[in-house]
Amino acid sequence: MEPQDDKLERYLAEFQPRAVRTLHLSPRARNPWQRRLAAAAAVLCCIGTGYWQIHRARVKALKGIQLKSQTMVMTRIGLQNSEKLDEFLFDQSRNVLPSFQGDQSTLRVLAKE
Amino acid sequence: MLLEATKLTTESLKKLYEKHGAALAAYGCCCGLDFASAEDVVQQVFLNLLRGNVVAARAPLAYLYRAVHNASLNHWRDRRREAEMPEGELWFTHGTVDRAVMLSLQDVLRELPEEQREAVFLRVWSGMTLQEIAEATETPLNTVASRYRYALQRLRERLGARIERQD
Repeated sequence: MEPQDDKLERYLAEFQPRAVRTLHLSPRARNPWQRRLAAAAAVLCCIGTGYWQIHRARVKALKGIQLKSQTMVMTRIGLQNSEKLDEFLFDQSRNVLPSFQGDQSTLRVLAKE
Repeated sequence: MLLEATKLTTESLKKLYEKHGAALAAYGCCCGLDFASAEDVVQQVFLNLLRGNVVAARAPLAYLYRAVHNASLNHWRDRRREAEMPEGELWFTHGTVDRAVMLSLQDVLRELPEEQREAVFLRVWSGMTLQEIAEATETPLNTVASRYRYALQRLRERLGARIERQD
């Protein structure tokens, strides 16, 4: 470098760049992918809950209808023929009675006695 | 040879900001930004490094100048319709020199070709030697030296009379 370049360099160095404000470190921002994943999980959760609620309501309504229709059938049979009602109840009891498989099942306890 | 990518620590980045933040903001102003926007751009570049969104090369200072340059151009492109650059805004300070001299220095710096301007900033306001600049920018030393010489020549042409007066 020539002496005149040194002189100019020194002259330029006298100019100080304007000070900048302090660097503020904000809390670590989440990765955009993490945010997208969290949003997708939230949406899925909402959809799942909604579906489960609808399904539960439907099952409940179906059970109510079945019970209602069964009671009506039994009443009709009872009015027409009481023997047939006994037969019907006997058949139903097979399905309704608790399983014999369980250790503490009512049937097993009764059988032991 | 490709530069090895290294992640800078928070402390080293803070030190870099304290030491070179002002020069980087002035550099951003050379790319057409007003001072407040240049400050924002510099902060954003450092925050990206701190959050690990980007990884700086082995020569962080040269990387920072490039990053500020690119971010400034993007910012300028996005905002140019919104706001005009304020006339006569100063991004340099000097104890004795008057405002007109500072404005003419800023004008010359803005008019310099990108590579020459980068060489001047790295040498004068970031204190690197020409050899260090050559290594950091992966440019032959002779090229860096001639860029710097041309830049000084231009600055002398514009500010020469004032430098003589200073003596």
